[in-house]
Order: sequence, then structure tokens, then C-alpha cells
Amino acid sequence: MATAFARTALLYIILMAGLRLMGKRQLGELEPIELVLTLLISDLAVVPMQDFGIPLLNGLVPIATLLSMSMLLSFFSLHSIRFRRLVCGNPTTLIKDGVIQQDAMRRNRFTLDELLEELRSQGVTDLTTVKYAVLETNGQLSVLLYPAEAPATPRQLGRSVPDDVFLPTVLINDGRVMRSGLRERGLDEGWLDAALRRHGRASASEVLLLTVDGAGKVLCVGKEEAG
Amino acid sequence: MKYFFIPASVLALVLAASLWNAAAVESRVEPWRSQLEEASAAAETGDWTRSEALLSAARQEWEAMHGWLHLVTAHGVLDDADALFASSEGFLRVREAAELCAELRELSVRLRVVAEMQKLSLRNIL
Repeated sequence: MATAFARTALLYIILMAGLRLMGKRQLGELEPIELVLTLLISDLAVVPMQDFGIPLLNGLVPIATLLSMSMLLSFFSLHSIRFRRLVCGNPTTLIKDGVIQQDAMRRNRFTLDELLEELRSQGVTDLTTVKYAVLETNGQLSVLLYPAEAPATPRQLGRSVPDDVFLPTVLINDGRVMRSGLRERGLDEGWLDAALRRHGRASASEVLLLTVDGAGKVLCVGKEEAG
Repeated sequence: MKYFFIPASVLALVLAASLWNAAAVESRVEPWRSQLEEASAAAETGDWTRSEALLSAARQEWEAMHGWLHLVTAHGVLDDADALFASSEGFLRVREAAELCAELRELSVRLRVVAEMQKLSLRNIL
């Protein structure tokens, strides 16, 4: 029992660190090799977790080897376009200028049903509205509509739109003051106290979320009383 | 360049540690096998005191390396060797030369397997 507990805890920490090293990409965005790597690592971790007759190192060495090779692969992919193409392949155009590229579909073993399903999932029901459909290297389909079918942008309509989109910085997170956020915005505790008073709060512990954006707009959400 | 050097260093370290481990295990196992062969020969000639001393020395050294071997070898293989050491000592106590020699031969083979399992060889890889 104690062995199972200790091995599981240790492998969990190692897996967490390993997957963190792999980066921030979500499961659906993984390249095929990255998906296989994730499955392999989880499988490798299970063996020494369940079978105490196998040394823990027999699980850790393959995991460390796979992660290191994956990191090296990423490094070389980043530095060499040729290598990246070799590992990840190239995006394939399945619809070009509104015409289905049947040869490309065959080469990628992409059926017409799958193409229509992907288009429907992106809200496209009429094939004639699609100018380009590109099968990306991670398996996702990017769809570009003809300009006449795509939603018009303010620029296309000749309208000027003020640039009022700012990234908010969190200053209070669940009652805790985020000092790094205050520093980032060049603000201090005095400013925060004044902002809290303006929103009818006596202290940070009464606030669930307080953010400030680049235009100085403050959002303050108070904590609810525990039921 | 740290994204190259960190994984490359880990790979180099793992490979170096694996090769060192294989060499270290083999360098320790071979003297034990010689001791077991000598213990077997001594038992066949009726020199039980020498046979006992050799087997006891081999077992002490084996047990001293147990911690390390548990880190790198399947525990079942080590348990088998432990059982063979114990049964060999049993046959030695009752002065059963034929049984002891057979058991020591089996133990010697098991110890060779322990060393072979660590080796980076084509046979192991395939």
C-alpha cells in the first residue's frame, strides 16, 4: 500500500512536470507525434505504478528519454523548416477556389462525409460559399469563405472603430491582492484602497475579482455570503 | 540554446548512466560466478569449509549490492537468485554435494542473466 502511494505520488509529480515541459497546447491541437507521446508517457507511468516488481527507474528512464527526444524534436523543428515538414507534414488544400481537390482528399484519406461534417461544425452548409478549406497538420480544417459570404468587417464597410479593447489585469483574485498586477499597471495599495471604497468595499477580502484595463476601467465583483 | 542543451544533456546522462550500470553490474557479477564455481569444485572434493566460505562471501557481496540492483533490475529475478542462495546454503549445511553443485550452477546462470539484462546489446534490444 505504502509503495503504491509513494510511487503514484512520485510519478504524478514527474508526469505533471513532464507534460508542463511539453507546452501549453490542448489535446485537440497536438500534432500526431505529440498525441502519441502523451499516450505513451501515460502508459509508461502506469506500469511501475501498478507492478511493484518493476523498478521505478524502468518507468522513469523511458519517460525522461521520450520527453527529451520530444524537446529536441521541437528545437530542431523550430530551427529547420525542412525538418518541421518532415516531422509535421504540410497543410493540404482540400478546397481551392471553390473546387474540391479530389486527389488531395484521396492522398489524405479524407472522405467527403468528413469534409461536409467539418464544414457543418464550422457553420458552413453550402459548399459553394467556401473559397479555401485547408487540412492543417494537426488534423483541423481551416475554412475560408468567399468575401461575399463572410461577415463584413468595419473596414470593409468604410467605418472607423475606436480601439477600445484592452487586456484587463487582475488586481484582486478571490480576496487576495495580486501585487505583481499592481506593479505591472504602475499602481499602489493606496490606489487599490480608493478603488475598493468607490465600490463600497472595506477590504480586499470582500472582493472576488477586481480588474483594471489599459483605459483605467475597473471591474469589481464582490464575494457572496456563504450559504 | 538551453532548449537544445537540457534535453541533449538528459539523453547523454541517461545513456552514460545505462552503460556505466551495465559495466558495473557485470564487473561485480563475474567474480561472484567465479566464487560459486570454486565453491562447487570445493564441495565436489569434500572441502566443505572452503565451499562454505566462498558461498558466504559471494552472498555477502550480493546482499551489499541489493539496494542498487533493486533500482535497476526486475525484482522477480533478484528474488529468484535470493532463493537459490538460500537453498544452496541449505544443501551445504546437510553436505549434499550433488544437489549443491546443481543449485550453484543454476544460481550462476541467474546471476549471468542479471548482468545480461543490463547490457546494451542487439539481442536485448531486439
